[in-house]
Amino acid sequence: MNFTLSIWRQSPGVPGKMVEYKVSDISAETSLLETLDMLNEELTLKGEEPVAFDSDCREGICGACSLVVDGRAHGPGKLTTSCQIFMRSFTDGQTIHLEPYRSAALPVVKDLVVDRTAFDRIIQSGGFISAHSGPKPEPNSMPIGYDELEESMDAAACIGCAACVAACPNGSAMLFTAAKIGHLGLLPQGQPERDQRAREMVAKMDEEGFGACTNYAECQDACPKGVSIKFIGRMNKDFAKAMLCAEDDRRGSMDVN
Amino acid sequence: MELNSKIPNVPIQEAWRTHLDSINLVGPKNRPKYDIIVVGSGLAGASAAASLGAMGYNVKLFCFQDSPRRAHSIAAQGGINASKNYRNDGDSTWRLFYDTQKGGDFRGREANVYRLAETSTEIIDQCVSQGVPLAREYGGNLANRSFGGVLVERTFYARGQTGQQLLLGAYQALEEQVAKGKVKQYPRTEMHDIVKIDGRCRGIVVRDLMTGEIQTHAADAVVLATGGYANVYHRSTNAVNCNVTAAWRAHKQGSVFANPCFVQIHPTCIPVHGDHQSKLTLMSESLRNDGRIWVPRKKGDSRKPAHIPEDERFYYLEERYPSFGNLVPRDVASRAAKKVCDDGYGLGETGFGVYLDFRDAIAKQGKAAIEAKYGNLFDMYKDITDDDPYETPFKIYPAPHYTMGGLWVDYNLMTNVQGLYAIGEANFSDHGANRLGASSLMQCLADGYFILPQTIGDYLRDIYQQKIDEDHPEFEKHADAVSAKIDSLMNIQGTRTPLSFQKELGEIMWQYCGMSRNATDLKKALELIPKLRKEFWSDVKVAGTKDSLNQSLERAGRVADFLEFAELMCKDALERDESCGCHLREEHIHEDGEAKRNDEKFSHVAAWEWMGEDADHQLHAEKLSHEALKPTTRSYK
Amino acid sequence: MNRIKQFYGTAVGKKFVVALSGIMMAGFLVMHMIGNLKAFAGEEKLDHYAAYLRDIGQDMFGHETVLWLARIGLLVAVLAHIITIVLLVKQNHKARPVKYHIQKSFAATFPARMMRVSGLLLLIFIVVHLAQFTFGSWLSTPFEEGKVYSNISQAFGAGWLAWFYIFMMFIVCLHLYHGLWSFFQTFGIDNPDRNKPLRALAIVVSLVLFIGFSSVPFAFATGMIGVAK
Repeated sequence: MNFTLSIWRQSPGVPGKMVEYKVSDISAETSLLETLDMLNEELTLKGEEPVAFDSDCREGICGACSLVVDGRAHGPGKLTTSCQIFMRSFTDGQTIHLEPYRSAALPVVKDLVVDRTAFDRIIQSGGFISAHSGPKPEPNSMPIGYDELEESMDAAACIGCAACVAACPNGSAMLFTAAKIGHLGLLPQGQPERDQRAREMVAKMDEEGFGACTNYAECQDACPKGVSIKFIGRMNKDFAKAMLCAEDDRRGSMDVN
Repeated sequence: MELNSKIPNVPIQEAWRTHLDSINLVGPKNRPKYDIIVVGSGLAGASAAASLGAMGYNVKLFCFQDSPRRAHSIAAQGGINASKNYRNDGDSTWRLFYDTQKGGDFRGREANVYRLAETSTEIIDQCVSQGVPLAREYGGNLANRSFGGVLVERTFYARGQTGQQLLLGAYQALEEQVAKGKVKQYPRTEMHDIVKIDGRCRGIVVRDLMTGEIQTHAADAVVLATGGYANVYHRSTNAVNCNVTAAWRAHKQGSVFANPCFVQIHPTCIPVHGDHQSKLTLMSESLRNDGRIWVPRKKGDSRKPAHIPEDERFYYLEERYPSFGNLVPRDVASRAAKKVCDDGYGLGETGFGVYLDFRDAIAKQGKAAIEAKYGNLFDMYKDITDDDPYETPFKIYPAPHYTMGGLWVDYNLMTNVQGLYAIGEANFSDHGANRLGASSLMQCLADGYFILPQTIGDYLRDIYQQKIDEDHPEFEKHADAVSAKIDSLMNIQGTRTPLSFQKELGEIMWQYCGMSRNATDLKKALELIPKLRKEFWSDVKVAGTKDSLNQSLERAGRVADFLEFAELMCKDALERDESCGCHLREEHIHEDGEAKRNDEKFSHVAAWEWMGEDADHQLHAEKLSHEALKPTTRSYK
Repeated sequence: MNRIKQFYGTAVGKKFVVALSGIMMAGFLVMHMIGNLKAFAGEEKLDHYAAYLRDIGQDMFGHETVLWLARIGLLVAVLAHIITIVLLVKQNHKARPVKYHIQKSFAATFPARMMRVSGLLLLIFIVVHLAQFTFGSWLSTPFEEGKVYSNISQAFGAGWLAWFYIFMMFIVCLHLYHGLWSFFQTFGIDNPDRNKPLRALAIVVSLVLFIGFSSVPFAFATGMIGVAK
């Protein structure tokens, strides 16, 4: 198969643009990222700079790959990541457009690579259960219902790829944030910090420059792990309760040191 | 050089407690005076950094990925072992120790393995407390599944994403410490060297992958949690960026490398389809519970599998291993697949693939039952290959998966370089010559949450008040050396890409130091590798510039290290003139085709010391003790 | 108060304000429609109803007090809705400064994508509508305070205006469909297993409002009802 790849090229400090490359003799079972590998081999030998793009596990779980293929985050198909797109999903001779995520909070580093440290900072603001390593209570002393656990797992399945932000017309990170708040909030272990988690993660999300939710549900459609927007509703409720009904946050006031 | 494993001279059941009671500790007020560097953010690195930060140490965490959450621990599917005995089926610390030690073909360190088994239950408690959604039964208690090679149900899981969930638990704990200012994380930063001052490891040299800047970081101790080296084969189940660089550069600074030839080849992976393929995807081992493995009896049979009648199918595992059949351990299944393909029965154009057929299982149990058990795996396979395994059999072939070898460490997990620690897959670990399924997650978390945080104080107390910072001339010297190496890579501007060298090296390793090995092949590899390395250093072409994100340069540096490391791996494989676990020497096979160990000569850890660019490695053998468990022969007939 | 400020300071807080003010307006629309339908009962009934609206609670609070309270409440809702949306749109534009070369949508419904357009049209419509029937300051048709039936009869009898109103009711319906479903989603009432019924409910409510509202101008325009010319 032969394709024209129209790829966003951008170096630090220089405005980017779409550049076209021809690739030929690609077999249908080659993956899109392998096609990029091949293009990069050619570019290297020609003395041109290869296309920078993120990828690591190449089996759809690490969340590193992050392309927007012909206007769709990750590429054609549902429940998939960029690394799991194979050339058989395209028609021979087609032009394939490859763009980086577009979000003020996830700035382009180079070509198709974006900086997603904003997601780390959202987690830092409360996406955890404080439990220092050491002896802990017996897990079966705190039974968790099957359905509750599975629902929590539905949210925990998020791979942090940020396709939700890329797909959202508003560049919103609600699905990512809601998935973490939902995962921890559905478990009994997550209750003690539930209010402050909702308060701080939601505030952090805005601070990082993500957009707001207008219920387009594009995020859910693009999510490789099928995380549902119901978690956004859950997050909203948790947040409203934490802001309007919960006790004051007394952290800090107890420190003696 | 004397390798002292520091294992207390008491029965293994008492070793860990006795050891903890006798080592130095650092008090909570003093911990903030120490700086610790952790390299790698997988299960071991993230859990260690989070634990050390929570204890009060100042931690710097480095990873080459864009976020610590992406480390390849995330890809582990099956589960994590713990001897909770929730099924009431006779599990115990001793039994987990026994299974692990036997699975490793008695090439693990007894005291370490026992400690691992002891710690296993605490890991589950810890992870559940952190909110890791391990699967539950309807009644709300934790669920278990069974896994290969053992007689009890002790594997805990979170759907097919156990590694991901455990890693996210550790990552979240890590981010909590980042928020508290106890850990500072450096993503997209690759370690290039360790800095030794007065025989102690006092810091590292790194390259900021975004800007190309070479930085130095001083610390009181350095922990390497940088994973395994299966990508020496180019294509493996590892992530494409996994590499041996950190471990290798530490090795070249004096840290001895143990058992590099021990590599696990996983039997059920999707076969290679073409030259440009970048990675091999693992299909869970559990498929072998119901699938039947076969090849056509006629060589080069091009008929569709459904059209091949029963008597023309060669169910080679069932024929050769009538009692275990398709459920023989990983190493045995892998070698059998290789054999039929080498004999010319392999499938398709490449000839490297065998069928894993659910036809009979679907006929017997119904499609719905199979779908319920394996639906997600069938879908995953269909997505990748465009073949529907409900209609036509899976095609599978073994692929490099996990490396049991690694940096040598003592009972404190410290390498022979003072102040340099290695944890997780990066150390030579507790798995002997073969790792059992669902044991790698357990080992990483045992090291990171429970062992290292408690043992590191023993060393730190020792160096109290000998502060050294980045102004020390050694840092500049090492940084200059790293820069010079990068410059020389950039300046070659030859005619071949770094990837082409990695592919060629991978082919050499797969062919001559793969699933089964012999002296002739290994000697051949030992001729080819230095030649390829020479060619690399005169003909590689690195694109782009060194002062911005340059993935070509990153790969070149990693391939350069693989090209050196591969040679040591072959040397070790040649030196270990016995078969054990995953290491099969064709010269040492029982008549029934099983591995023949030589406990008299090789019941040791082979630890190799770097003697300089032009000198040969020196071998140090650490004798293994078999006081608790007498080695026996594994048989699966 | 500080907490409410913080709450409103976040995108999620603003969403609640949009949803709440929206649902208030939707509630008003339902009442308004029921009132409008009195037109089918004849001139006397409708004018009486209009007078009644001014008299609600008059024994306790005085003439038109309750009406004005309702009007102020509604005005606050409208303003809150608009101001909050302007703030959110600003935030959203800032969040995606560079657009994609290939812009496609895969999940968003047509009404959802039309929210800003339909909202803007509705704003214009509200101004026109109030000018015409509340203040009587828009003089395209004869207007006499209190003579509701005759006012609308003369306005819609003109034909084109009725069709304009019907079109605007379609826009209301479009806006309301996504708005109502969004209300369920924002308040966390939606769930995959309830999504279909809730979507259906949003469609039914929007359609009922559309039919209810449109029937009046339609009937006047086609001469089914109205004052003789």
